[in-house]
This record gives sequence, structure tokens and C-alpha cells, in this order.
Amino acid sequence: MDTLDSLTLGFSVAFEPTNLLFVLIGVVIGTAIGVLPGLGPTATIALLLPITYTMDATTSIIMLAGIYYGSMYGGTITSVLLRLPGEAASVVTAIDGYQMTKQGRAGTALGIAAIGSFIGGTVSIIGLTFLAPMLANVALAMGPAAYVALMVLGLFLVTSIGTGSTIKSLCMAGLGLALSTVGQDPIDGSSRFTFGSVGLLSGFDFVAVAMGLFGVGELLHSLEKSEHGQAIKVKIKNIWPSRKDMKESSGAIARGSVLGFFIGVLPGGGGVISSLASYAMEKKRAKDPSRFGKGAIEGVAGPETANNASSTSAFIPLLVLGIPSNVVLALIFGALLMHGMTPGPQLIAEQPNLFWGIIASMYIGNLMLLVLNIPLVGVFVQMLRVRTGILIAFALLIVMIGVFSINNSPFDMWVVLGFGVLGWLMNKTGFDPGPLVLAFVLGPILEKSFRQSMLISGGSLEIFVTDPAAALIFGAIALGILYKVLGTRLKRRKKTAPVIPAESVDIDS
Amino acid sequence: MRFNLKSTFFTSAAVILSVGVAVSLTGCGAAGTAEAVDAGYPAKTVKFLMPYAAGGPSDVTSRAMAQCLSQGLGGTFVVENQSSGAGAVAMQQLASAKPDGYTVGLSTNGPMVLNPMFNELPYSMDDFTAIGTMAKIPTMFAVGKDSPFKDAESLFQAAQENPGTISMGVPGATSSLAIELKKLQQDFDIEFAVVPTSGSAELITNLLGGHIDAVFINDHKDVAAHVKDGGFVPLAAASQERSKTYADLPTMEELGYEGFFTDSVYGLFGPKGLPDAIVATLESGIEACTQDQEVIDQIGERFVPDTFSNAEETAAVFADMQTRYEPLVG
Amino acid sequence: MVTSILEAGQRLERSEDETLPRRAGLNRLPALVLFIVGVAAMIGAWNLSVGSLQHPQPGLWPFVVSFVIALTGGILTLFPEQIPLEAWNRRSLGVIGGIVSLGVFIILFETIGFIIPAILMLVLWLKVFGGERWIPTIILSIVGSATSYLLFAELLGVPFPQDIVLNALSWIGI
Repeated sequence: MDTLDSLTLGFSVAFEPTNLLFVLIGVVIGTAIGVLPGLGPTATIALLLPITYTMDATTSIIMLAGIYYGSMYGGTITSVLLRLPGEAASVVTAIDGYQMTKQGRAGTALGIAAIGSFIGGTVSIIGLTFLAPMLANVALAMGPAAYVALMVLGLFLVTSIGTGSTIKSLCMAGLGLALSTVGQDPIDGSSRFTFGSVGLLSGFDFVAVAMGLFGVGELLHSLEKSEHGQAIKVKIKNIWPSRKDMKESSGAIARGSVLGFFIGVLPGGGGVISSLASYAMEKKRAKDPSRFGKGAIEGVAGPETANNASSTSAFIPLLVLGIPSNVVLALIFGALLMHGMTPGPQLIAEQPNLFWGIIASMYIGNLMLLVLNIPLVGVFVQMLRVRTGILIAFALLIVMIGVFSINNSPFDMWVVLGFGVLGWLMNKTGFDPGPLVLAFVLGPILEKSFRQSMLISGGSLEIFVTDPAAALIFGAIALGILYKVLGTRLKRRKKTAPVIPAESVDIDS
Repeated sequence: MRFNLKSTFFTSAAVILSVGVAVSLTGCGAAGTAEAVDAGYPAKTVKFLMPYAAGGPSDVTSRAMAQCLSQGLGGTFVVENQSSGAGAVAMQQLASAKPDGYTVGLSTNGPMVLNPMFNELPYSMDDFTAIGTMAKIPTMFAVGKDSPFKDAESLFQAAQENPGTISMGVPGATSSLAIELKKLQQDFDIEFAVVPTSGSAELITNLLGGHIDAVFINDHKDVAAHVKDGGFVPLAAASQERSKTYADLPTMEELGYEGFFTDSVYGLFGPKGLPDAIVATLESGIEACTQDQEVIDQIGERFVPDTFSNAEETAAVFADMQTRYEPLVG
Repeated sequence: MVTSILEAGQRLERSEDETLPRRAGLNRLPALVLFIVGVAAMIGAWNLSVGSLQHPQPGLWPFVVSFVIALTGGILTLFPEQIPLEAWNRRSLGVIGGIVSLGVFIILFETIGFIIPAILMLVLWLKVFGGERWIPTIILSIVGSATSYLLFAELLGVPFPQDIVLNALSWIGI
């Protein structure tokens, strides 16, 4: 059976009325859940899992997948409007998205994010349809050594996203890395920096850290800024992206789709790296990189597109190899097991209806999301007209509940509060939480992979050269550094005595 | 601090306000004691604690069992996933719950036996009452399809001759598989380069990608799919009996590695001091559920033991783990 | 360095003025704190045993990243960036009040359940911090808490701690 026949089969499954209904239910729940800060797809799918046990297997997976990619759309909304990123991949969006909101361009940001997400998602599904088996092998080629290289690359990108100086970004990245070491050691299981706390054994929860530093920090900050009950004194300008906006973002969307699709295949960190890479790429390409961090539309369009493309391509290792690449996909994996189906190499052959049905439903779901989200942009922008005091009070309450629901643990509420205080203080002292949060995600993967590599190689660093994927990525990093150093030299020769621009501070000095 | 405040406040709140809900049906006034037991159990919602996140095999087991117990015993068993603190938070909550049968929980080798050994935790195995065994996940040694090792002997012999050069992945540093492998290495003078990962998915990726030489892994459905596909070549089963699925696969003990076996045992536990009557009720409830076809289908036929291990036998299995692992965790 | 901390403290007290002259002291203080945190974490990591690059032990990675914090914190302490910072003012104290209220909310949530703490928190934030009138405050708090309870606890099945309000209600006879 060739791919097009299979796809036809898939659409015949996806167009069954029940399945159509559940795609819709899935994407609606996903959007709604994404909008409630803290209550991400993980918590929702975990809560809905028992219900799906009574449903038909294909229908239930179609719905769960819908919740997952739907929540990627929804997650953007709080990142942009309230600076509340609910998952790692939206952290990058929050940086320029929230600045756009402050300038009254929330509608533009949300609009371009919806369009970018649709394009990124669709490109990725097309890739999933035609390239899945080939790309699955790419995921397998990435061993511990290659992950070390990938995470080093990620950290380079992290230090370039900050708005302050490189030294400050580096310092915050260091803090994020240090905070991520709290908990059980990944290799020998001993506890580190837990100070006898049972709750800290598994470390700080990412969502609690991100929402604390960004959202709660910002909400606390707004307490001292605004007079009682005053609305954010920003006029909401145009709701829709203008022709100029579209033109400015089209390149970012195109590049984000491709980056997101390929990097998203990698289990562990794929989603974050793809949005980071897209942001860094857009900043590099921009004629005026200083706009980034101050509301550059490409800074929303690129990462948001990449983020959605990667959430779709993350299904490739799951459906082709039976390897769930993140927590949400592990839940979907569990749902499949419960229905007596084992995702793995035989899935396509044994369950063509399921496999192609899910893929076809994604085309439909993405289209539904676009249709659903475009009018919703207008609705959500109206939210900004609600008086600040009311918005803050409810946002805080929902953040608290949302964070509790991640692990059903009040401990995480203390974590979000603690990081909220830290975020507020960082805001006051001119430090940027972005590098901290992103380094927090990448650090544990880097450490674990490095130590695994050393165990495998018996302590020889040669593994980073002999492993083809690692060598490739390290080579790319080296070229990048070389390019940057030479570029700076040339610039310096042209302009005499520059006033220490943030870009030119050498990382290794 | 948190917990003290919680318990004092909770006790008084419970006595003053929730007496009606808690005890109206059992007709006993002393909410704080364990005597609130009679034929009426379970009269209200039973909290079924789960020390792992949703979605894994332990979650599937918990949910299938909770549903079956609700039907069989009456009452509602509600699964509550609490994976924070590597499961320690859920275990601590279970240990400090009132022994009235309204808080029970799944536990396995890791949270019950190994975590308290690796970390200073406010609970130990003695703070729990075993009720019965719900499921057992066997373990196996496997290599990739292009591996030069065709059987377990050649793999172990190679590791003996070239110590530390053959990499062997295990699911986690504090998993029973990692500890058991340590025991094997000590007892039989074998040395692998042991590579802990963050779970089965990562192990499978690394073996299929050829990044590690062999794995010691929980033989669950995900592994079975790769064995069937040919990506995984099983070398030895590490349970006490041969696997029903791989009848030709020798066990480690058959291969001469005396005393080497490990299974992930999913036991049901309550807090210490759980009254016998409630233990008996729950015990017979699980026994019936392990014979229920729907439950067996959900958990997987291979993972529900044919002969039921009751409270006493389950307690013995975990006590045995304790004595086996204690000298190995330093 | 002590002087800069003192200065910072004095500034906190007399800072009615929004426009703050650029002072290196305020820029130095957080960097100094980071430097100290970095050094403390380096000591903590060293005690976890570091091993070597080829045979890393649990402390190696934390040691390396703590070193990065200490180094960058140190650089920023010695050569502070001259960027204008927001002044601390009287409303900053309000933020501390907000932080305390959230702490109280968490403690109450654990002990008496969701509904009462949620109402109290909404009243505080709407009335005191938000400056709403009493009537909308009360309506929004009660309706908001009830809606969130229904949404999260009933619809999504999030297991909130035992709620005394609901317990009382069911005791009265529902």
C-alpha cells in the first residue's frame, strides 16, 4: 500500500462522525486547557486517561493527540497576554510576545502565532506522512554523546536570547543549571542539595519554576507599578496582523516549520531546542537584532511555529518506534497499551487504521484549530480590557491551582511562590529569567548524557569525535564560533572603538 | 512544619466537622482510632495512592484494580498519582494516613525498599501493612540484533574477561535492576560498564541505536514489541520461572547464577496497624480481581500472576528484597 | 561591600522618589549575592565529591555550574553594569504583603481545603490590591471560587485536600 492510499484510508477513518467529533472535543479541550495557566496537557491527559479506557482505541488517541497539539496553541495565549509560559517551548514566545502586549499589539502576536502554528503543524504532518520511517532512524542515531553536543548547542543559544549582556545571561544560565541539579543524582541516585526535604527529591518542577519566574514574578511586579485598580494603560491597536506583519514573519514561519519538524523528532528537549534555535536564528538574521526582546514579531512567529511543528513530529518516534519522547506522549503510549496495542515497529503494519487515522485526524484538527483560534484571538484580547486588579487576582488563583494539579502536591505551590519572589527580585535588579528557565531544562539532559557517555567510553573523551552525530553537531558549533569571532574582528576593524556591545563580549573570557 | 500543622489542624477539623461524613455510616464516634471498622467497609471513597505519574504500567495496574475493587467491594477507589519526590511523597502520605482502610496505595521495589535506603526518608518498610500482590513485571537481559553476543554465557564471559568495557544499560540508578546487577557483578566477579538511564524508553532507544551493548530491562509490552520485531534479542530471563512468552529463554538461575532474580512487584499496601478485618476484605477483593478477565486483559496476561500472593506472602517478598539489597546499598 | 548593603537599606527607607540616580551600589548588591551563592554552592558540590572529568562523581557538574555563577557574579560585582534600575518605593512593601498572603493561602489550602482560602485570597487581592468596591469584590470572590472549584475538582477531578465547607454542608444533611 503506498502512502497516498494509506492516507485515503486514514481520512476515511478520521471522517467517521464519532472521530470528527472527538477531534473537535480534543482540540477544544486542548485550547481551553492551554489557556488555564499551569494546567498543561500533561495534567489534563492524565486526568482524562481513565475516561478514554472505555472508548474506542483510535477515537481516544485521536482525542488525546488533539488535546496535545491544541494545548500548544492555547499555551501561547497566556505566554503572550500574561507572560505565563505553561511549558518549556512557550518560554521563548513569552519574551517578545509579552512585550508586544505591552505595546498594545497582543492581537497581532496571537494572530501570527495562530497562523504560524497552523503552518508549522501542517508542514510537520506532511513530513510525518511521508518521511516518518526515515526520520525515526535519526532519533535512534542520537546517543548520549550526541545529546551532549545538542545540549551544548542549546546552551550557546540560551545565552544569546537574553536582553542584557552576555555575562548576565551566562550568570542566569549558570543559576538555572545549578537549580536543576537539586534532587536525585541521575547516575548514582544520591540526593543533592535537597536539605532533607522529601519533596525536593525529584527536584523543582519545571512548570512551577517557569510560571513563578515569569508569570508570578510579573504579577507581583505589577502590584507596585499600577495605582489601585488601574487598567494597563495601553490602547489595543489592531487585532489582526497587518500585511507588513505577515511579510516580516513569513520567513520566520518558513524556517520555524523546517527547524521544528526536524529537531522535534529528537526525544528529550527537542521541543525546547527547536523554539530556541528558531529564536536565535531570527535574531541572527535580523537587520537590527536589538529589536528582539522588545517586541519583535519574528520572535513570536518563528518559535511558535517551530514549537507546533515539533509537537507534531514528536509523534514520529512514538508511532514508528514505540518511544515516547516526552511526558505527554508517554501518557498517550499508556493509553495505547491500555487498549491492548503496543506502539512499536509493527504498529503501522498491524494497525493501519489507527496509525493513518491519527495522522489524517491531525490535518483536520489543525484546520479546526485555525478556524477556532482566529475568532478567539479577538475574545482573548478583550480580556486585557478587564481591570488589572481582577485579572491579577484570578490569574494568581488559577496559577496556584494549576501548579497544585501537576503532582497533586502543595509543595509545588511553595515552589511557584518562591520562584515568583525570585522573578520579582530579578525584574527589579535587571536580570533576565529567560536564560535561567531554559538552562534549567537543558542542564539535566547535558549532565546525564555526559556521564553516560563517560561510562560507555570508559572515561575517554574521544567518544565525542567518534560518535558521528556528536561530531557533526560539535563541528557545527565550532564553525558557528569561528564565524562569530571572525565576524566580530571584521566589524571591529570597520568601526573603531565600539562601546562594548553586548554581542561582542566573548563567552570564554 | 507543614506536616505538623497539617496533621494537628486536620485532626481537630476532622473531629469537629467531618465526623458526620467520616463515620455516620459506620456509627463509630472515634474518628482518630482504627476501630471504625465493621462489615460496612468500604463506606466512602477510598484514596488509592500511586507513587508514579500516570501512563505507565503501574498506573494501568492501579486503575484497572481500582475500578475492579470499586465494583467488587462497593465504595469508590480513586487513584491519586503523586510522583513528586521520586514517589517518596506518596509513600510518606500513605505511611502517615489513618489505618482505617480509606487510604491504600500501590508500591513496588523502588519506593518501598530502595528509596529509603538511598535517601533519608521519614518512612521505612515497617510503616506499612502489605495487603496483596496485584501484578509482577518480569525482567530480562537483551542485546541488539547485530550484537556479537548470541547467548548470555558469551556476554557474561566477555564482561569477565574485559572488565568495564561492555556497556549494560539499566532503567535507573535506584531501580531494583541496577541493585540486582550490582549483586551479580559482586557475586560472580563480572564487571560491566553500567549505564543508568531515566527509564525504559531511553534504554530502548539506546539499544536500538547501538549506543550501548546490552540492557537489563523490565520485560513489559514495549520490550516485547521489539523482541517480536527482531530489534531486541533476549538472552536470559531474570525471574525465578521461565517466561510464558519466551519458553525457550533460560533463566539466570538455570544458567548457573544462583540466587539471581528480580521482578518488579506491584503490591497493595496500607498504613501500619491496618485492622485484620479490612486487610482480609481488601485481600479477597484483589484476589478476585486478579482472576477477572477484564483486569487481566488491561494489565496484560503475562503480568498478573496465576497464583495469588496474599498479604503474608507479599510482605515476605518485600522483606526478602530488604535483606537482599541492604548490604548492596552503601 | 558592607557600605553598599547599608546604602541599599537606606535607600529602601527614604525612597519616595521614583527617579533614582544611577548608583553602582544597587547594581552591585545582586551580583554580590550571586557570587556568594555561587561560592556556597561550590563548597556544597565539593562535599558531594567531584571525581574527575573522565570519571565524574555527583558533585562535578554542580561544581562546574556553581563556578560559572561565582565567576560571573564576581565579574558583575567588580564591574557593575550602569543601567538604571527601578526604585524601591512604598508600594514595594505592598508586594511583600502580597507574597505573605499567597503563603497564607497555601497553608490554609492544605489545612481547610480550597473554598475558604480561595474566597479570602480573592477578597484581599480584589479589594486591597485591586481597589474594587465591596459588592463586586464579594460577588466575584464567591462566584470565582465556586466556579474554580467546580471546574477543577468536579470536572477535572483534581484531588483537593479535604474541604471543611463541603464537609460541613454534607454534615448538615446533603
